[in-house]
Amino acid sequence: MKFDVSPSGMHQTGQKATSQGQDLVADVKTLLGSLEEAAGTCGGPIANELARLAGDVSQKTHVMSSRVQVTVDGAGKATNAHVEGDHEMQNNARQNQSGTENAGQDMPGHGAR
Amino acid sequence: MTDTLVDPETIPTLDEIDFENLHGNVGKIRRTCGDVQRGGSAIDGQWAAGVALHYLAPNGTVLSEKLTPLKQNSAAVAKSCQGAADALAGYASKGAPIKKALKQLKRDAQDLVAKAKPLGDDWQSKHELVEENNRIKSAVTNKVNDHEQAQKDCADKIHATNDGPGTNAGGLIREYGGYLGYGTTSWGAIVSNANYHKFGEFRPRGADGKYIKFKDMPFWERAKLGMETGAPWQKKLGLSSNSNWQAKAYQSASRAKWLKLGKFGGPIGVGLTAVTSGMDQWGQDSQNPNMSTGTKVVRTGAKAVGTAGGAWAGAEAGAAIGTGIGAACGGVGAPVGAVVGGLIGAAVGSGIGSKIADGFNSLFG
Repeated sequence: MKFDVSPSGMHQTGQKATSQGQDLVADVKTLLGSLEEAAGTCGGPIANELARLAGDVSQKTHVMSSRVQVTVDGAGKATNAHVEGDHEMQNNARQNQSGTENAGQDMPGHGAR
Repeated sequence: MTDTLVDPETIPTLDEIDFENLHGNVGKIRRTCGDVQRGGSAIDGQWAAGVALHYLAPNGTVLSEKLTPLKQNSAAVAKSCQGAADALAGYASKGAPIKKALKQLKRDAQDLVAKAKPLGDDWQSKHELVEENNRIKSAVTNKVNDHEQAQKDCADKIHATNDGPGTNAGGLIREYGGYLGYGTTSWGAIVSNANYHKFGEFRPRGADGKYIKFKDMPFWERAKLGMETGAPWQKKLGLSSNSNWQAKAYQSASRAKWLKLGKFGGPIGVGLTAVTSGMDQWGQDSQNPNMSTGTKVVRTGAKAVGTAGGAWAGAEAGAAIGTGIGAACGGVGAPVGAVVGGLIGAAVGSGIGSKIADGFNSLFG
């Protein structure tokens, strides 16, 4: 499989998801405010049920927020691992190349001609 | 019907309920529901498109679907609140005329009292006054009952729209379990990533949560073989342990910065602020010229696997992925993050410094 990971592209994608997540949270806050206003208008058993609904909405939103967080952070780590992998393999290749060159210089007869 | 004169002051007129304002609230709830639903859908769509475009690697498809639950959850929230809005609208429609009727009945009662009180107890001898008194009392009783029924219907309907708080424990565990370094099986059961690498062994888990065999050789044996130049399995794949990568110094500083990202996954309640912080760090790192030779990590095949400097650190990073992605994968399918963590963890356990080496990644691609 071909690997093609763009850290900057993933960064933008994660940043946008985070920004959109914040917008979503703002919308939910507005929604909760509307439910609260309605509860204040109605009172009684309806207010109780609206409070219960608001709790459910809050919890679902918390789960959504958490999911955005772990997904974006996880994607960042995964992207980083690919970058790290590149660095490591590049470094290994450099060391291998360096070792090969040194070994060549130390070979018997090297420089005798 | 009764021999007592109605007391206008005892007639409820529902002054505390502003049905007109409630209609306004209903409209606001409905509009915001649409915003919430569209918002969740937009995040999912944007994320999927972004990952598809910028993350072409094993598990990319899985990663691209990680925010689909947002679309579903936001739709569920919108549906619940739309249901509540419908219930409130129904209540407002029924309640407003009841309120109006009760107000009128109160005025009628005041008129009646004005006529009856000067007569003392003789008002009961006036047939029309008695009839009016009975009508008002009966109507008030009916209207109050109607209102209570409308309230109950509305409350029941709102109740039916949701499960209430405290009933999403499964979802919460799946989401937050990731913070503790756990992944989940396809059933949502939590499994520790440590299972995969504490003994230096690795087996991927299938969708049923059980270990699965890939070919006949475990990864760590493959990796050991891979350390030998031109190992049989590498030759078989048409690969060489000598890569075509250009030499470049290992960047431990950038690794350390990136590893810090793992600490942003905090306790419940951290919310999106932490993500923003993490993203800032990510942004800095992604623009760090030392972090990558360019803006892309491009691989076309298996590359060298070795134990030289930086290998262990790479294993650490990979193990961290298991945590992060494991959380991201919570509740959906096999614990991909644990698989990734296991791969790297296996390298730790067997003493083989390795990365997401392309050769064995192809086994899962």
